[in-house]
Amino acid sequence: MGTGLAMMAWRCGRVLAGAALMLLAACGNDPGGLDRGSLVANVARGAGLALPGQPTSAAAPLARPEQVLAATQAPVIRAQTAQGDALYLLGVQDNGPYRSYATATSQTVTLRGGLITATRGLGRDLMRADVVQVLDRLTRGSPGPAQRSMEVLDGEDVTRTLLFDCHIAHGAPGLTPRPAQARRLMQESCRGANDDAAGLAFTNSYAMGDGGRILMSRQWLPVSSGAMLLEELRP
Amino acid sequence: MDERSGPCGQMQAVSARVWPRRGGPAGMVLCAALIALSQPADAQMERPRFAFDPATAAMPGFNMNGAPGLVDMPGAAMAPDATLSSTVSHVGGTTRGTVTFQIAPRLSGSFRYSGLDGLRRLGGVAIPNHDGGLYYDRSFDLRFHLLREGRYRPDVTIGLQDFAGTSLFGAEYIVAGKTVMPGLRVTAGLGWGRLGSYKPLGRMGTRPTDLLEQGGVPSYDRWFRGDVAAFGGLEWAVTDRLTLMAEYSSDAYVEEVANGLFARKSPWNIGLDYRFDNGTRARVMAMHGAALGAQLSFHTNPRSSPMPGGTETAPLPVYRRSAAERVDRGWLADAGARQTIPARLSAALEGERLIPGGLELSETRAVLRLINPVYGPEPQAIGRAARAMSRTLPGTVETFVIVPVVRGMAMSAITLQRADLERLEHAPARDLLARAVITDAAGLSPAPGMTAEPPLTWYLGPDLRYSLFDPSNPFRADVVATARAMYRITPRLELSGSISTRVAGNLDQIDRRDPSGLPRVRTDFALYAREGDPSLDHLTLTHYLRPGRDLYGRLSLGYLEQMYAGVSAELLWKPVDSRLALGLEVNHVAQRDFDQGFGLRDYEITTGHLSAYYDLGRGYHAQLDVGRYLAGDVGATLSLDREFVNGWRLGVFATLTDASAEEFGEGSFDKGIRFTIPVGHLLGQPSRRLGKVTVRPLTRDGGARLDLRDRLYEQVRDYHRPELEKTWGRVWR
Repeated sequence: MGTGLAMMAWRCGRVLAGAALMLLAACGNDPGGLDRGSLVANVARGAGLALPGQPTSAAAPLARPEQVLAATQAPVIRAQTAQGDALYLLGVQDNGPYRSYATATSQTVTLRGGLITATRGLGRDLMRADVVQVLDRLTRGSPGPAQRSMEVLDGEDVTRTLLFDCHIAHGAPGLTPRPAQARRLMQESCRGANDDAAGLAFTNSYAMGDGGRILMSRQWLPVSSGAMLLEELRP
Repeated sequence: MDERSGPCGQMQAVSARVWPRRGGPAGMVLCAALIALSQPADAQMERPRFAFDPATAAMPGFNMNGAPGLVDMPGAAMAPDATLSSTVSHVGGTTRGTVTFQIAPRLSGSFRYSGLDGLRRLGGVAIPNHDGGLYYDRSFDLRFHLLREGRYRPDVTIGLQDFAGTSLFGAEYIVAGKTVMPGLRVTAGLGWGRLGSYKPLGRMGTRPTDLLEQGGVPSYDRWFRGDVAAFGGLEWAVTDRLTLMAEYSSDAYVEEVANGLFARKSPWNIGLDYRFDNGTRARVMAMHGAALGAQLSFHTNPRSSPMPGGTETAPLPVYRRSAAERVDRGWLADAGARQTIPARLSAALEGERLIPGGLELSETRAVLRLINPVYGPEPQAIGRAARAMSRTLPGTVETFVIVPVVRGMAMSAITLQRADLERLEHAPARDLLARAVITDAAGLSPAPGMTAEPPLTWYLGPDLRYSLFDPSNPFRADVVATARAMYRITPRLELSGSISTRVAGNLDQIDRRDPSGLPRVRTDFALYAREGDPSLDHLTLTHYLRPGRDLYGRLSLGYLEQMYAGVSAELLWKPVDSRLALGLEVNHVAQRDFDQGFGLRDYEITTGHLSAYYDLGRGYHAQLDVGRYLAGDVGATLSLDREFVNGWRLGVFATLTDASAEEFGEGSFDKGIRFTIPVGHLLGQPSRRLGKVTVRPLTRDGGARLDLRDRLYEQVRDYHRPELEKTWGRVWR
């Protein structure tokens, strides 16, 4: 045996490959149509292939902070992912204690008093976070226990709430702030406290200026790119 | 019965329209492999994992039959709920491709397609019309978890293997399994049928060999009858990736040995199982002291996603008005400012890939007709529209009414207070749901206006048609070049057509023509496939209407589908809060010529159904259709689906009519399984497209319905409360 099924698999593969090629050649004006270019790129990335013309990493050098600040009057933060990709985000909207910052490519990060409470467009987004207890201890410079929660969507589109038991302490491991930013260094060590957060643990670090304002921080996120280093360039 | 090429030689032909479609075992495995490949290996990253994630779930090893077990013998463990597994194994001239779905935490079902190379005789009798090449067999299994493993208690599972066919693989078992120390699991069981064929311990009655009716019905007369034998074995997890298995098999492989597929020298089988990062498992086995085998298992889960929450860009932030803006009535007097409002809202909505269909604006209230071509989870479209409204509408407008419109029909009215949007943008999504009012929209929708949908939409490109499980070829397909266009004469009146021509493929080579005791309403599919090049796939004029509160209507006229032309009328009653819907459909159709041009054959029939649809909750859905089918037979279809929030659906259906099993022929009655795959969820980009696949063991003439493209229920329920509540977590996405 084997040959029969192998032939069948080969023929089936050929038909699928032909269909995939023709799919690229297809055209139409359906407003609900798929983005075929990104589709092919995604499949290729999943299979570990590099397509011609597809950047393998964000190689373009980042503009200098002075240039960015000169170009806008909006609040600016600089964000860097664990992979080293850095970008600037501009404050685009305030809503009560929350401020949303956006990248040039329509991804957003929402902060409450410097703590990340939501992301959009990063992949595996943080839908919402409750950081009130943590923020209270940080701004008061008061070590001790605090709880935080993070909401994410699971693969079925059901909202899951990750609960964490955290401990706020002095010191900011892994953070190298400039002296002016480092009036107070704090850290937040968290451990998953419900089933959905089981096995998760992280430590966030904060460098705070006068009045307990977070100027620089390294915060864990459930998003694809993982933890994020944030620096406030203009409040 | 001249063209039957084997007692299991049955066939299925489908012509579906939407990508993706899946082929036989090879196709299923290929697709599973693609899904597995598309899941990035990021195990080192710390991130939430849920119990169903196939890469990290506690997944039992799968045996040659694609069920949790040892090497060839079944085990007692169950996969995590909703796991969808594809296993392909090859040993001694037998290749088995199995898809197993964990239907519920305690119940799993499998569909297996096997090819046996060199099988010529069954039970000592030559297989009719079989040339001795690959012999194909299909089988279905069910497993039920009787007892869950506890500290002292073992897992106990009862299983029916190949329970409805000719039972080449027919067996029943009851098996227990227990992890006795970390990494070491012991399994022991009793088997009947195939699993009772080697050194039986005893006998429980006699096992009949004749088929019930015309086959295709559960062979309950054989279950747990005849010889019973013991089997068992050990699994030892050497590392977290590598498992060794050894088993004592109670399967004598009577038919395989008699046909010389291999020699069975020993009841002992051993295997080595390796688990990859993404949960895929590869196996090698040494079988019966005589053969080596190999196996691959892919696991996925409709509840898991390579990119939960999607990859689309961020929505607009909600604009929070100042106290002054809330009372600034200046815009009411300023005609110039008032005129720019619709255009600004349109631009904001188009930036979100939403289509505005009309706006009614008063001092404190705005009603928006909204067309959502892109977002699968409907609340996401509602949320994005509300955000756009918050940024463009004057400050005095306190109430937003969003009326989702599908094919000109206002599906519901979702009323949101603007102050709630401002206050709850960063609150849990359920808080906004508690404040949202969802009502029927009959007569509420503003007149169409603004930038409506493009009147003409078209597509030019490839399409795929396939046929599964042809007795001489399990996977046939045509790639066709298709031109489709839809012209919207009014928002509720659509003219739609599609033509195709074959580019490559082998569907035209089907040479099977089954006899039928009924009018040949579906069994001439081979003739349609052969002669329809080029083919007019459909050409219809369809009118949609809202005759009143809770009522939706459709009238279709023209070449409705591949094989029928005529008129079709449908009325649906579906209150916006209700989990129950009732439908009435009446059609008068004539059969089309095989060449699928404009000509008609001389078979005419009036068919119609009364339908009840009910969302049972917890992800289960039932549908009952009672009426007259295409061949004039009268009866009912019951469908049961497991529905996932993200749009995946897997279900079964069966139709019993007054056509007798003899009239119906092979298979006795119509039944099958069906899948709905949300393309956007699979690809990680927003899309409302659904891939629909129906797999029937056999295409026959009894219990056949029209293959209409536009039945109302699925379109209507999307924007009603029960469905909106399920996906409401997406409202702020």
